[in-house]
Amino acid sequence: MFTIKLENFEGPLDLLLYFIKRDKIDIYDIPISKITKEYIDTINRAKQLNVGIAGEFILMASMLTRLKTRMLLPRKEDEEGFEIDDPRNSLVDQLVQYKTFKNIAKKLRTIQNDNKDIFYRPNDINISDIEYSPEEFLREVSLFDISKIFKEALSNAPTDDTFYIERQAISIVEQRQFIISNFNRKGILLLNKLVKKLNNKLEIIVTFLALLEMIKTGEIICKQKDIFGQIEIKLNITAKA
Amino acid sequence: MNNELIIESLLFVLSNPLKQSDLKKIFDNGDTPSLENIVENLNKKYANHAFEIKNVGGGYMLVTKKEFEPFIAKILPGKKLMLSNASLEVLAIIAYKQPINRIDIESIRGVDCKGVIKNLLTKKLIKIRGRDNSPGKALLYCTTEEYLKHFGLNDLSDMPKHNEISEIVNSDEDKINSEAI
Repeated sequence: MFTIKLENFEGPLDLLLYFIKRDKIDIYDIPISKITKEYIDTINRAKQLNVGIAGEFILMASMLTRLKTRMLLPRKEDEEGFEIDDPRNSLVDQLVQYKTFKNIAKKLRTIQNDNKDIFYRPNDINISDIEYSPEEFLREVSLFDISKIFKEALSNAPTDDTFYIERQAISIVEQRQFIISNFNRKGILLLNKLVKKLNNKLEIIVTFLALLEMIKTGEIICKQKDIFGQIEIKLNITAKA
Repeated sequence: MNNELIIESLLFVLSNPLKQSDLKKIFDNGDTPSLENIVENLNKKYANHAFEIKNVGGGYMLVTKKEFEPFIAKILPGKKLMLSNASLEVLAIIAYKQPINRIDIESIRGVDCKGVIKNLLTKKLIKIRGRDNSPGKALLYCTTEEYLKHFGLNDLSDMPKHNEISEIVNSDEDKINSEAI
């Protein structure tokens, strides 16, 4: 048993044509069951399927399997008892068409070989200084060229990749003042009220640090009456004095 | 000035086929010579030369004679473009079915052809010719003058005819060949 390398085939149709040629199968009367088994065995044996081509081979495998089941179903017959609507028809059409183009490609290869030994005059004349009429100038330029150049131009375009981030200067001293200015006449401040007045993360952090600092120096006292309850900040008048 | 020499100079300078229609611009006194006759005379003169004039891409080009390839190959850097099987298959389909979109090419080959098409576009063997009316308005591809040059063909009717393509037993081929012309 020799192994068949999937990479050597131009796709699932090519592989099927290989089986057909090797086993001298009549392309118009393909034994679907046999060829499906062979096809699926081949794919299974190719342990490492290239993801790119695997999809195409597996699609064909599922189509063959479907064809196999459809072959089991009874089909319509015409008056003379010939089967019409052979489920294999579309596969056969596809195979015959592909085979035709494969043969043309083979012929092109011969033509290419016949022509490979002749050399044309190279395009080496500097035309940049010559004024061309627009249609003459664009004669050799295709839509693909333009889109390619446009894409290149876009990717070569200078990009401004420096960004400036302004650093916010928030100091503990300032936030201390801010906290003090927010106490009511009774010298009481609710923590969640204070936090609501802050604009961003940095302000919240620095304010919190200022609070801790003030608790340490005894300027304020924090109280929480119940679990998850409001935290009350009290100005400690005695300490301040 | 001798018309033959004028045309010889044009052939020497051009890297694309010189066509009968080009001569109108050059001989603007209305007395345009027949390019075909002149080429025939020139080729007779070139019998003892290393080059000759070839009918390619719908016109005429100066080419080296085949037997000098071994020497030319030594002095020219790089190899001449030789196309892969996949490229040849896609080119064959485009040549006979043009203009054709990628989906139709892929449904004939049963495999993805994106990379091959891009490669052929870069090599200028095919070009985009508009879009079709299908949903999504797919791009249509057709072959180029460069394609004819690469294979040394004069025009698409020089492509293999159905009796030259062996092993074909289907009526499909008649359809394909009639579409090519």
